[in-house]
Amino acid sequence: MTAWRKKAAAGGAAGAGSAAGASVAACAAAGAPAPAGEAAPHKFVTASFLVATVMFAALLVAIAVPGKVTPRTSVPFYVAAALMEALFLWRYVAGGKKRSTCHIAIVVWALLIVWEVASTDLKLTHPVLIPIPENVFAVFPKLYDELALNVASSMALLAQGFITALVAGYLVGLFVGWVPQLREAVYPIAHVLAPVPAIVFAPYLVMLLPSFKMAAVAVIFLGIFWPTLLGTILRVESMDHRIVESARMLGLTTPEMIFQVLLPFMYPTIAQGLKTQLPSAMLMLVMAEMYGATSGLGYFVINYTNYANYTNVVAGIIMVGVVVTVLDGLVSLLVRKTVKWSE
Amino acid sequence: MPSIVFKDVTYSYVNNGESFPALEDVSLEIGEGEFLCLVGHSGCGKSTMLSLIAGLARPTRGEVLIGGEPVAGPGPDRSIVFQSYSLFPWQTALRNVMFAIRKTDRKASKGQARTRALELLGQVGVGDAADRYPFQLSGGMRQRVAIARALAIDAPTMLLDEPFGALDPMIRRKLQLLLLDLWKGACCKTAVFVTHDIDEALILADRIVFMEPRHVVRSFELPRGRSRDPEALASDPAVRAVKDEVLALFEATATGGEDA
Repeated sequence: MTAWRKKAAAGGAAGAGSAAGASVAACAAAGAPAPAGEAAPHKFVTASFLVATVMFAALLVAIAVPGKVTPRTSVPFYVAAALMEALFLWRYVAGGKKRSTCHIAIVVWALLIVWEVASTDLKLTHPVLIPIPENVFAVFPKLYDELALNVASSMALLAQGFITALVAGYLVGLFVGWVPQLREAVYPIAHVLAPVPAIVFAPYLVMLLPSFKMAAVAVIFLGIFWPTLLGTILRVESMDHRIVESARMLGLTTPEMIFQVLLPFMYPTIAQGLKTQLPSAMLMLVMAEMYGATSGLGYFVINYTNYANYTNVVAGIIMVGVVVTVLDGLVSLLVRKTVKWSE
Repeated sequence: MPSIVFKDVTYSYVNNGESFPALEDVSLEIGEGEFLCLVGHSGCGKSTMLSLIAGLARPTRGEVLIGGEPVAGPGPDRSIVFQSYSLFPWQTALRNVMFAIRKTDRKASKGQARTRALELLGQVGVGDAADRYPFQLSGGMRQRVAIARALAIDAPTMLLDEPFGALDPMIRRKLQLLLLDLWKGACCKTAVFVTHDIDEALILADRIVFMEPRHVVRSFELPRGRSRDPEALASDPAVRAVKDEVLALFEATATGGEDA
């Protein structure tokens, strides 16, 4: 029985006062920055919030307790935990979904506790394959430059492939969907090509195209372009005919029809669609980077996998998760700021 | 002088390779400046008649002439109001009307279009809602904006496809009188109004054309200067006579429809 368990159990049984006490004590003992807003107003405090807080305290205790493996430094892990707690508290205080916020926090803390206890404290896991969390989080300050460069490289490729594919997919889709003769010719082709996973082209494109970057952009392009084209053609076809007919009565030219009627009508679906297209673009990017790249997040992960440096590999995977989450947040922001109407 | 002429028009639509007639050898003349109501049961081809005038559909045989010229396609010399949701949902009420003005009168400046649009929205009684999006408006307000947009086009022909069909009776009555006022105010537009509500037709029409499936059956003239008050309409013998005859036709075609 380790100390953290006793403490967590005591905190859970005794309620708010001792839970906060345990958490503050743990923070002080570890010397980590105490997360802001720990003492949330009492009306906000729910059972799930208490559980989440107790588990955060338990994690700090688990890090502080000397285990069978002694990490070089625990500070980055404390900082990461504190950042997560700060994010949780911010969402809890400012956000609307308090309960689900707590549940997410509980799951995250549980995973981190299990990882910490099993690897660092008890050394139950494979020492090479399962790196200890202290070392994984220490990668971020240590390899800060390398990670930043790789993220920048990945984002540059993503932007090129993703944006060109979206612009091309929507423009061609709108034109083809609007002109019946084009639709009859292009739709069957798109229908066959869209479901071919773009990633199967990746190894071939890396050989075929002069630079790896071009190949990665091409893979993302293929993966996004065809489904976008197909979806756009279908949406133009199934658009409410009253709106189309009202527009036709105004005697609009084809470009006016496309850019002033079809495009604004579809904009909300397009913006929402980014939320599903972005992760698949990211998937193709990282996969593509795993073939023959010399930079990027996918390269970072595959390169350290080849050197069996799983600490860096796990850090790279976490980095990919953070990048995807941030991009998704940006898309949500874009949707909120620019979509002003609904049907 | 007739402004719209149907000459032996047949229209069939094709579904799964099979062709279904919606209109068969229909001939009809609609006078310039006339307010014509097409009445009949659902599916008798009323709306198809409207689509043919609009140019959104082409006759399979025969021809539809406007001012002596065959209809070549949709165009800004005709405006159309549908039963529901034909406003552009991405534009505010004001922008919807301005869009119609600027697309049909390419010389109009943005400021001119704005002034005119606000004036029209005021006329249909939704001046306050100019900056709201269609999804923020009630059904009645949406149809008011749709009428404002149709008037904005300033076309000599107005086509209305059950524009008040989805509204409750009080609002419906108000909008019927509003439409009539606006139509009289913008003198000499030809109006073709599709409805299956005989009372609506009696309020609005100069002439009622009754359709049974695929055919125009009969047409009834109504006194032009009549009072539009519901009680006065009910006691007007000429209007009563038309109402009785149309109701009889409705009943007769209903049984026919059920047999088929």
